[in-house]
Amino acid sequence: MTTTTPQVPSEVLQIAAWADGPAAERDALLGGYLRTLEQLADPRTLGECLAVGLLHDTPEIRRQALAAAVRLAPELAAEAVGWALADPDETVRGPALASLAKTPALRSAGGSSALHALLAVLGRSPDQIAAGVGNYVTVADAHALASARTLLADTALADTVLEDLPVPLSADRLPSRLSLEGMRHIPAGRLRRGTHPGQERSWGDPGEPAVDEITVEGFYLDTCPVTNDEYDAFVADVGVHGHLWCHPDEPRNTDHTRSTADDPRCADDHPVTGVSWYDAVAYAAWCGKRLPTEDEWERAARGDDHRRHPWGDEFRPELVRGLHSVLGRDGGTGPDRQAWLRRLADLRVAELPALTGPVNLPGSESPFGVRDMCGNVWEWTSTRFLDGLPLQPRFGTMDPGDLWGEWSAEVSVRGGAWSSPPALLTAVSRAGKALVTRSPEIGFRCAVSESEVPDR
Amino acid sequence: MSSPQRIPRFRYDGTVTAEQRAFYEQYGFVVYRGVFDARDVEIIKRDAERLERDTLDGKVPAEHRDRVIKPSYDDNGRATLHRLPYFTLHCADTRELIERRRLDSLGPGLLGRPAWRFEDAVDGAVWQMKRGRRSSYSALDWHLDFPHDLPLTPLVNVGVYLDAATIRNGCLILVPGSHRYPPRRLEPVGLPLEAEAGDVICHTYNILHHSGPVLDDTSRATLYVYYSAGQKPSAGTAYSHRAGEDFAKMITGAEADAR
Repeated sequence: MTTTTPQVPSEVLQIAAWADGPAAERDALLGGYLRTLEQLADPRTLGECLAVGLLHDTPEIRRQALAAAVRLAPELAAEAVGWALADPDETVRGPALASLAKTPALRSAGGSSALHALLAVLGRSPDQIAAGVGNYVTVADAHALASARTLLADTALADTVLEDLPVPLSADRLPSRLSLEGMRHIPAGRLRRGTHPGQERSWGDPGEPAVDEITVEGFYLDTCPVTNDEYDAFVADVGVHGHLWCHPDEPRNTDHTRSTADDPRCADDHPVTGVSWYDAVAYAAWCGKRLPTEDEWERAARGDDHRRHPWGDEFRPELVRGLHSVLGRDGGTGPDRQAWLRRLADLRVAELPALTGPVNLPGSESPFGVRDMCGNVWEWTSTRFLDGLPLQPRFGTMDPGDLWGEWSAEVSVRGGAWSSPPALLTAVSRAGKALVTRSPEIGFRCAVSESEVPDR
Repeated sequence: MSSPQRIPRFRYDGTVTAEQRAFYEQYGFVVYRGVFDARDVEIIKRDAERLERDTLDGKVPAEHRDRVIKPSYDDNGRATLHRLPYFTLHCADTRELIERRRLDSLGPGLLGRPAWRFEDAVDGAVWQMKRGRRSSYSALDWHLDFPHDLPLTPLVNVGVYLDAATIRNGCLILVPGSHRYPPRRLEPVGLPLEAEAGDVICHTYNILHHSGPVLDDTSRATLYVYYSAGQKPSAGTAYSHRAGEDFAKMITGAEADAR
């Protein structure tokens, strides 16, 4: 059997291609389009040509296509009205609602889905809709109320729809995944940021901060960084449930798959890498947690005695995965900044047998029992790098490429990574990275405030 | 707007370190804590009081008097000045103090090449005071100090803080990195830089910055010392570039032109 592709008239192609121009030009094209629709006898062709107008970017074209659908193709009109009910432009939604209220054929064909859509906007109480008291201020609102009342008057339809309403997202439907298993409690206490006065400094230490001492409230922190295995489970769950946990500012069409997913060196029990700050935030929300602030991270790593490394003040190469581990060299004193950068520039990363190592390195515990805080991977925090205030990104309208060099898009990362020298493998060093960065050297762990933990 | 927490406050011992220079190159500013002590600040304030008095009494040459910001007047009609140009030219104690604290090393240190201090041209070092009440100068809109094509550039603006600057009294707000690449937003995200009396904030000539209004009853003064690695003008060259005119309009509107 052969199928033939219906010939799409040129007037339809012209309206499909029209994006911008004078209103007179648009109206001329629209007139041709509507006249063409009236001449189409084949229902399939008519349906496809109507869809061009119903899904057009221009509200006037959508509005006229909807009117044509109601007039020319009653069997398609219910679906067309269904689309229009979700239209953000009220000059499109209003006529759709009006058509629905006064056209019995539309109600019988699409009444159920239309009532679902209307109840989602107007609320679930027929009494309230009958009373008409509420947040109704525009013509489209009045049409919505009238349509809902008309549909609810059909008691059989109303009963069916009201019984079938979805359960709202709630703890019953989406239970919190928060578990304190694998987390350590860090009690409230003082944090002296950075290097102490009189303490020996290295080139990796940050400058003296504007505010050098603060109180950190009690919280819980993951004992180890999030692993590839754990992160991949989150990505799979996004595949099943959708992007329910993402930061609202996340770039559109984000695929949370880590950029290291195809690298066999990044084993399941290694810390996750190749994830942006947005990925990390989404993962944390999936767990019912959040990213730690920079102050929380530093307090967890340094303890009440504000030590330089989680295990004490002296650098101990065997307790930290840095460049010395990857290259199999003595970690000793470490190179100066320039020598280290030259070494990194000469590094053939693709040829290295291993980058990250397994999490949970024994002996690396901080005074609060948190492990792997230095080395292996830098860790994202929720703190803006330059001023140390909470990061509240609002870059949604910007191209991610424009974020390079934008100071307010730089997030503080802490702890140093497999590529770091001893000067950066400390609990005081810090660096700023653009929040869209996906690096094989940056991972994260999660936190939760005492106040966010439900009573146990 | 919240107070910044982790902006580095560097120490200055007469030498600009590689770390400080790198920070300045990247973000376009650097903050030095406690370069001047309380006695130093007192010396500069005393000089400012004396120079303001001399200016109002007509003892300062006309070409060295400010033409940018109108004076303010108190309830008794007594004038106070907001801007004293050629400050170090007329205040030997302050000039000597600046040299003693080795401020002159900031210019070459931050610019990376030999630099000279504004002294007898282009308004020299400028003392500036902003105040909330009964004041002709409280806030300043977003601006650059100097355009790229000025022969004086590159240069660095060194602000010696004589009073605490807080968000509440209209501290300096700048857009870090905007000297390297223009902000991608019409309303860029500004970073407030709070300071204590005696602190020094250096920023590039072409960084986007502004300062908010003084919301309390305080006033705050700053002495701006400029170091240039560009061409040195002859003594007496006036501060008359277009940027200066825009600068004046931003502060006082059309009234500045009438003076």
